[in-house]
Amino acid sequence: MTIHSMKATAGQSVIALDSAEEIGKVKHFVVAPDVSRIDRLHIDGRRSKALFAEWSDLESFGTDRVMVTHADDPSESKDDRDIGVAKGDIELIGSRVIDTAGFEHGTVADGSFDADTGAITSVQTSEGTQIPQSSIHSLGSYAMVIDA
Amino acid sequence: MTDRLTLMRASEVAGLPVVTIDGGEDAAEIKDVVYDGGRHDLLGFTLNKRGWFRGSMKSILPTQNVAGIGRDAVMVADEGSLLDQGGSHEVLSQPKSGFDVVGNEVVSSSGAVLGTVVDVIIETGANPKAVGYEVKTADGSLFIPSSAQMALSGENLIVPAEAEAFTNNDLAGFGASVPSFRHMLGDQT
Repeated sequence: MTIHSMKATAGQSVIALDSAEEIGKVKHFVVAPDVSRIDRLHIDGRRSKALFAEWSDLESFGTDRVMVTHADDPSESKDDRDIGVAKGDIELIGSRVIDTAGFEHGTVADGSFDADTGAITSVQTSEGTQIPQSSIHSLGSYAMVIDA
Repeated sequence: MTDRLTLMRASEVAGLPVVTIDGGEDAAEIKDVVYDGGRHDLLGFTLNKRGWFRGSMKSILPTQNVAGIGRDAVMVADEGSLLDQGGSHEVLSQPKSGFDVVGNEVVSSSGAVLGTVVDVIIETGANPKAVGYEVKTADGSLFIPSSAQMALSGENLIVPAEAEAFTNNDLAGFGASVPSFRHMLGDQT
């Protein structure tokens, strides 16, 4: 298991193995609604429309660059959640944190994920609290909901 | 019993977002707290829309569908927790004027006028309920625990003389008084 920081990964260049070209930079993470894993990366590239790379299309997640297998793999999306992420409406980093009893706990400062599988292991809040993934219920446009 | 409850004024609940636990979405906003003064019972909430198209929603939120009320939000399991008006929940969309308790003069059964009801106090958490009243007095405010033994006319709220021993002039201290008052009455709810 190789744990990476989502905050540190945002902004990294995405390079295609087959063409060696830079497709763009990691802008957002499309995470599963239950925040269990990263489903896709939103890549801010040269095209006017948002590009998304499926986790399965990623060759490796290095400390400096994100490698995709083929330059043609990242594609546009019409999925509502993908579009919400690209617009910044559903964004884990910076999201309000609220518990099931209705009390806020700051915002999400960073997330840790397994670079081998895409599984999110924990989230850190702006108040310095480390929240294990098992305590997270959901991420929506309003908040990330955690156990009280 | 020394339990301390987490309490809020009903007026502070109005305006809070209603957030879904399964989706992290703000499905609505609390418009009004619907309270049955005759039974001292919290019935639920009417709702406003969120976002650009604010205004009254047709849906309502019964108390039993609330997963938690906190300082920052009212939590529900999912959007299915918000129900259409009508049916068994018609009282929530068309509360009777006779339910009003705010503005009633509070008189103890021993004949003393204690003040005027200015707010209803709600126990927050996963099983919210009304637990008392905030009363404006001549020299400040007072919190009085509610019980089914209190009579309400729309003008006067009669409280048992025993309740006077459990009044408190700050909300935090009142949280400890309510369980003691219930225990004294033999009310375990």
